[in-house]
Amino acid sequence: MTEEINKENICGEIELLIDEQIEGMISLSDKQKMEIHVADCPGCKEYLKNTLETINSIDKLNSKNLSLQKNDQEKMWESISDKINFSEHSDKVNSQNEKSANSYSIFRKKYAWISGIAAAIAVVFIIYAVKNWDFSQGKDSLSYSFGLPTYWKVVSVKGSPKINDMNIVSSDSVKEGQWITTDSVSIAELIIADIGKVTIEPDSKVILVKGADSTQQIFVEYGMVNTENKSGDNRSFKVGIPSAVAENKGGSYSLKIDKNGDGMIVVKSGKVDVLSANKNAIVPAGNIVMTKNGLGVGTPFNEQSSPGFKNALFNFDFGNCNDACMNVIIKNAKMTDAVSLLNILNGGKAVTETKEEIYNKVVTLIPPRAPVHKDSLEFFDEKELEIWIDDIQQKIETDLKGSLEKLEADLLKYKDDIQKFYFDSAKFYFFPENFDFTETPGVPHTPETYENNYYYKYSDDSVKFNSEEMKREMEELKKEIKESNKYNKEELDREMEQLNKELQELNKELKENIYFNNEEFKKEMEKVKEDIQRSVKEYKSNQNYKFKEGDSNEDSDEGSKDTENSGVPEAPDPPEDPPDNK
Amino acid sequence: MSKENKMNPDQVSINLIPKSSDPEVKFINDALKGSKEAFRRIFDDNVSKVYSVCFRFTADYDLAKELTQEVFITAWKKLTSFRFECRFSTWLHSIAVNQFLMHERTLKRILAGREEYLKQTRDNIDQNNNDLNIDLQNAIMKLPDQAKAVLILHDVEGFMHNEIAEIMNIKTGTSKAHLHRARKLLREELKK
Repeated sequence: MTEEINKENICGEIELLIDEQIEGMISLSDKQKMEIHVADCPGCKEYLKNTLETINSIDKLNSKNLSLQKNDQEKMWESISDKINFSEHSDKVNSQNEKSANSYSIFRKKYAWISGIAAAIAVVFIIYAVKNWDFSQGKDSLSYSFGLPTYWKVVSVKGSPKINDMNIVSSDSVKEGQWITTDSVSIAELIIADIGKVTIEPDSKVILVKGADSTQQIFVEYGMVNTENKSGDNRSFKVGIPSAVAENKGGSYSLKIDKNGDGMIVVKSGKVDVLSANKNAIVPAGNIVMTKNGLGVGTPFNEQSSPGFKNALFNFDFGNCNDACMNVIIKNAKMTDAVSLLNILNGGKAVTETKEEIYNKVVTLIPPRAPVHKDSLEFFDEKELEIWIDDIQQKIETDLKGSLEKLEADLLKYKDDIQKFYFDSAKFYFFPENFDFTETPGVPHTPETYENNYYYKYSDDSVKFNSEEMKREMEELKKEIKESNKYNKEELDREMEQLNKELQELNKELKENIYFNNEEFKKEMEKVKEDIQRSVKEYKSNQNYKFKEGDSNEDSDEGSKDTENSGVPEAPDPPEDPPDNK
Repeated sequence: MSKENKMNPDQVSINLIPKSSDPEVKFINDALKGSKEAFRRIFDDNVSKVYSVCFRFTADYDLAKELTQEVFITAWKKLTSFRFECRFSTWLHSIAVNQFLMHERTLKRILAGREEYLKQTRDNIDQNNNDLNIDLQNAIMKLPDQAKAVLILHDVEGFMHNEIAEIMNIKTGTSKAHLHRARKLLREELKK
């Protein structure tokens, strides 16, 4: 039985080697192993023969014989071209060019007005126009006219930033091909028309370049920049970094590139698309994405993501991510990691099976507006993906808001509790027992008014409640009370000792006086006993027990030791013979 | 002159669309800019290959034509996402495989059962295809979709496992396993 199983296993292995051999991808050692086995194994010999026959049969279905008729091809093209909008992809560029054209047409209109001057009709109008023309706006409008030689405004914010080798005095302009560098103390600001700005932080170097789509871009060689897109519409601007391009679609982000060209983008608000040769990343606010020189952009992750998750993502993007690593990414993902998962779904690195798992996971976190069939996962529509990401962001924001509100409510509650604690402590230690806190006219008796009430009596109104000071005072007071208690106890002990002595003397006196009336004596002793018991009980229940000096003469008291042991002083022996009546 | 002045901005810019002498790259770039002629050229260069694989998947001329159309329409829509990481024809095959798998699943959901579907497929083969090995084509049609796709891409279209892995977005080992299984099932089917 075992032999049969072993044989099956070996044959299964050899079958795979036969496939490899047919493929022409077998190693020499495997080939020898396969040939030796096949020579002695009829089953595997049969498999080899059948496989070759099958392949030969399939060869007959050679696709070269299949071709589309010319007229079918033409019809098909007509049908396809009817369904395609050929300007779809160039719309963006065209719209940008349109803006350029509009700028140009405005420029021409201006000249038309100038020609109107020549007609000497619109002199006043021209004066008006010159007075009211916003030159800075005109310059900015021109600066984002794609495809035109443009100058961008750059401002020195701090220190001495440079354009190439020249210091920027206060503000200057920079054009394509020029570098802006900052030293360890300099900061410069690049104005991107009326779209936004890029702040170039110390120790940075950026250049204005023409991007792949012929638009102007900023390229950051190293250092740190903060970008801000305040356009409020769909306009964006791109910042190139080694191996990627970041497109700010509205919002702000920080970008840092080290000397090796590796970088990190932290999105503070809005959304940023980071494009690289291998994949794109959609990075919403609160997310971070790494870039590696030569490898492109990684998968974005949330600031709140666990270290394990981030580590697994790093391996997935730039190292080796085995099954265990993928398991960490998929199984450990939380709501805040949903954006990372969607970005993996959008990329080409994960295999179909993994993408299905990821899709199923994200659906459990937050489902898409319209379910996506797993066959379509390979061709995920980016717009739908962005909507999904927006939904995730919305949910995270709502959850965060809810958590903050709860935290705020808890803090308020704790604040009340703390105040109440201090107030109660103060009430106990500082105020007379019969102090009525509700007596302050017009001030309701609530926790919020404790503080006011307290200082109403004991502090200047302008003095703010100082909890630390209060704490210190409490500690001192506790210490005082403790010492005072100690003193009372010692005093009491001393007095008890004295009483005990007196009691013993009384005992002795009684013993000596055998003529003492027995009944009277008993009553007297009962009284003493009761007094002592009451005193001891009071002492035990109240640490602030004060010994009454007045009582010491007629009500005897006793040390706790004696009282507890016997309860009563030792009774005198009854007189054997009553004395004669005196 | 400082070091930075010597650097050519074009060299440091990240060019997502590679500059290449390959005419196909130029056609794609031109198509992206809105050139209908460029996309027509792409269509002409690839339509036969795409149609061929679609026919192998479906064994139905009309359906193959429909799928081929869908492949090119999808390719146009997704053209901006083509990253020049593989051959354009490989990318088109990838779309074709997915179109086919999507179609198969939709069809199977619509039709009551596999038998009825297979019967219809066989009828289509009988009507449309006299010059092919009908038994073999029938046997291929009976294969599971993934195994069938791998078999066609490997044994008919001549793709390597690593290319199939790329096209179908599966692991190379998975592609090998599918092929092994497909051949076995095919052989058993042909023996009947």
